[in-house]
Amino acid sequence: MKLPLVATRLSIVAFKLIVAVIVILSILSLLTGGIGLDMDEGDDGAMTLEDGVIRAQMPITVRNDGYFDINGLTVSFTFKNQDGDVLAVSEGIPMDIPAGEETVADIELALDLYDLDRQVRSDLIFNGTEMLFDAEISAKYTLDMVQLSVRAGSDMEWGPFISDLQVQEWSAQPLEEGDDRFVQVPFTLRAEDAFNGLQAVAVTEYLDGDGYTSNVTQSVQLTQDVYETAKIPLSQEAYGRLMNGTANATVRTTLYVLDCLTYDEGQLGMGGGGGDPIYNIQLQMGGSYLQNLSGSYLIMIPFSFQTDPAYQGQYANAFIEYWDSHGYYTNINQMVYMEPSGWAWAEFWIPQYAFDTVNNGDELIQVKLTMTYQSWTGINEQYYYEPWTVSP
Amino acid sequence: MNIGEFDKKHFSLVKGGLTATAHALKYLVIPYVLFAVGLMVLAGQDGPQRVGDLLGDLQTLVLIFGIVLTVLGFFKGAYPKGSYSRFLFGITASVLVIVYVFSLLLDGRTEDIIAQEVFELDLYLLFIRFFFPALLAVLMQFGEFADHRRQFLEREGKIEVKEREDPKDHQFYHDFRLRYGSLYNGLKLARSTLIGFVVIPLAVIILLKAGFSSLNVQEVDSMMSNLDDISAYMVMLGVPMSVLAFFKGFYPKGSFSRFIPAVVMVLIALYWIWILGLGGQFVFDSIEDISINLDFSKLLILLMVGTALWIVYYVLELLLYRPEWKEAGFPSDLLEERKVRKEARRKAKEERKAAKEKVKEEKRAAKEKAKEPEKEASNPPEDKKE
Repeated sequence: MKLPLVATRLSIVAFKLIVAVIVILSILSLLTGGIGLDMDEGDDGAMTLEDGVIRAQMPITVRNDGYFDINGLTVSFTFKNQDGDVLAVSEGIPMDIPAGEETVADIELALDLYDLDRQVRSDLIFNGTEMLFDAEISAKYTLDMVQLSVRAGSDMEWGPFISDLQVQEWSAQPLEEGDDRFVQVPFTLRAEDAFNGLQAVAVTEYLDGDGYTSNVTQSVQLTQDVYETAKIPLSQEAYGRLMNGTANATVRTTLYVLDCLTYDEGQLGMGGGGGDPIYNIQLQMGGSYLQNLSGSYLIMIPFSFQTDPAYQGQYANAFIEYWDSHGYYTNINQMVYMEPSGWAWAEFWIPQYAFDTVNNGDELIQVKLTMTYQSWTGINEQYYYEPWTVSP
Repeated sequence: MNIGEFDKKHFSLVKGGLTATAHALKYLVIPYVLFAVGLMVLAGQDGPQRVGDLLGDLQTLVLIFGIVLTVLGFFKGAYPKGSYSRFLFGITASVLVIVYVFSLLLDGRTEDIIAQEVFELDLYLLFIRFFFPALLAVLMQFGEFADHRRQFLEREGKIEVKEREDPKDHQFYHDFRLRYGSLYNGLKLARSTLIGFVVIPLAVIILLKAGFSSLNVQEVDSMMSNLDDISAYMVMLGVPMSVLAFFKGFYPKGSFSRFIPAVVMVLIALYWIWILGLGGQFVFDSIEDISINLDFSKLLILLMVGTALWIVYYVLELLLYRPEWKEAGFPSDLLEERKVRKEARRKAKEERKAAKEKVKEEKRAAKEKAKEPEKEASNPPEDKKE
């Protein structure tokens, strides 16, 4: 055979050999476990909120004992609603992992709340929502000639980040300061860790049956348990109506967070004479807790109520029922003393499996309070994502 | 049939022995050893009896057919190409190979046992894939006979030696004349192309499909459907490539009639690689909520660039071999003719070398002759000095 032909044949063989070697070296490192990911234990990727962006960071160690650099390793997330419409995209920063090295990289999940439309954002913050998301890991390998991307879809429950906004109208107090008249209405709420420290605005409005309105605006720093009092200025006339029980007044606290709002309202019942022996029956789920008493398990749930002056000093029956999402049910029946602002505790002794369900579980539970006085019955029922935790 | 061509004057023991050895290795020794190893492994692992029985029966078949094919190979190799005797033994052996492979199926027993022990594999489908190249192997015997008949008869002195064609009247489109072709070479290349581009890929696909089916997992359904598509492409591209390969092999090196199908084949092969390489994209999304996308298109393109170098090769081949082919009077590309041409080239080279040496020798002698009178003039004889 002629020399130029031999040279060409050899070039072709060399070319194919190079490709074969590249392929073998690439596959070899994958097969022998030369490339791997290790999640750092102990870091659960706590969420933070910064400039309207919820971030969760998780450090991973990428081990590249292969023969080629891993370039442009990117982790990105796409959030979607239940219809599959893209709500927000979180793009990771590309990282290079040189061959023969171990690199600790931070996978960051960032959800810009302002990318979501207001309704979705509001649902996310105050009600909690289930969002679909696609996680995509992509990287280039083998001298950038091979690009691998793995996409995994899942759904994720988000929030609520702010919950249990409750106007405690039964604890409302009239206040006279010189010539000025006020009504002080406490309100409570809970914020998740991610929202801790965030400044929100609360507007509390007062409206009575004569059409009189007044409001107060205050700044609220969000914490895990917020207890604030709105001090609403009232006119002498409105104050008088409130005190003699003819105001038929309503208070509404509206909380503004990240351009979204939620509210709670209650009927002010000062001055008595409303007709019902007991009113403002409230399960105080924010004060509930779980206890492990050396193998005996206890759930404590407080509840409050107000008693019409005409019926104070007597006893009513409180029947409290409890369900968890796994079908466990229990109840307790107790007598409560009818005070002006009554407060009582329901104690549920539960078996271990029911305890295991709710301990560290963030489970949805249902509690129903039925108060009975003679032929009168009042009910308050709540569904509640319990945050209970008991250290072993 | 001319009985005289079976005469022992045409018989070559050495050539017969070489072909017989090749046949013995291919049809007897290697398969027999493989089955024997299988039996040994089975015995070591206390495997099922029915597999042992099957391997034993297959060994018997290998022994019978292997010996017959070795004997046929001996006679085929012993007689010269272009003779009826070689043609008869050759064609008998190639037909017998088909019967041999078919008999290894043992009327479906082999398939049943593989299905019971490993997975369901359609051996008849595999046999059909094998049948077409085997048919070409039969036709190759006709090709060899047709190609070499004239040379055989010329050697025997039964016909006159063909005159060389005058290169002056030859135009490039004359390259497509059938008389320049070699049926054997064409069929041989068509067969190897069919095996490489159709039979082996399809056999691998049949095995993969059988393996995947045995997993009984829904997730591989899309992959199976991909394999079906690839099979269709393999046939659609592989068959035209085999046809082109026939012409490439049929016509001699240095002819446009070889160059054109060779280049078209390379182009189809590039597309074949692209298809078999799934266009450089492997998408696996059968597992719920997880999809894996592997983009290796750059690597595939690199491989295709390597394959495209064959175009350069064929251009060079045309440029380098054409003058030689023209000089030799446009012969067909038969092995014997190549040997003759090579020998002629070697002789011509030797003659040129000898002529050069002769000229050098003459020059040296002339120089020495010219120096002698000068020497004599500068060194007069001593007796004269005295």
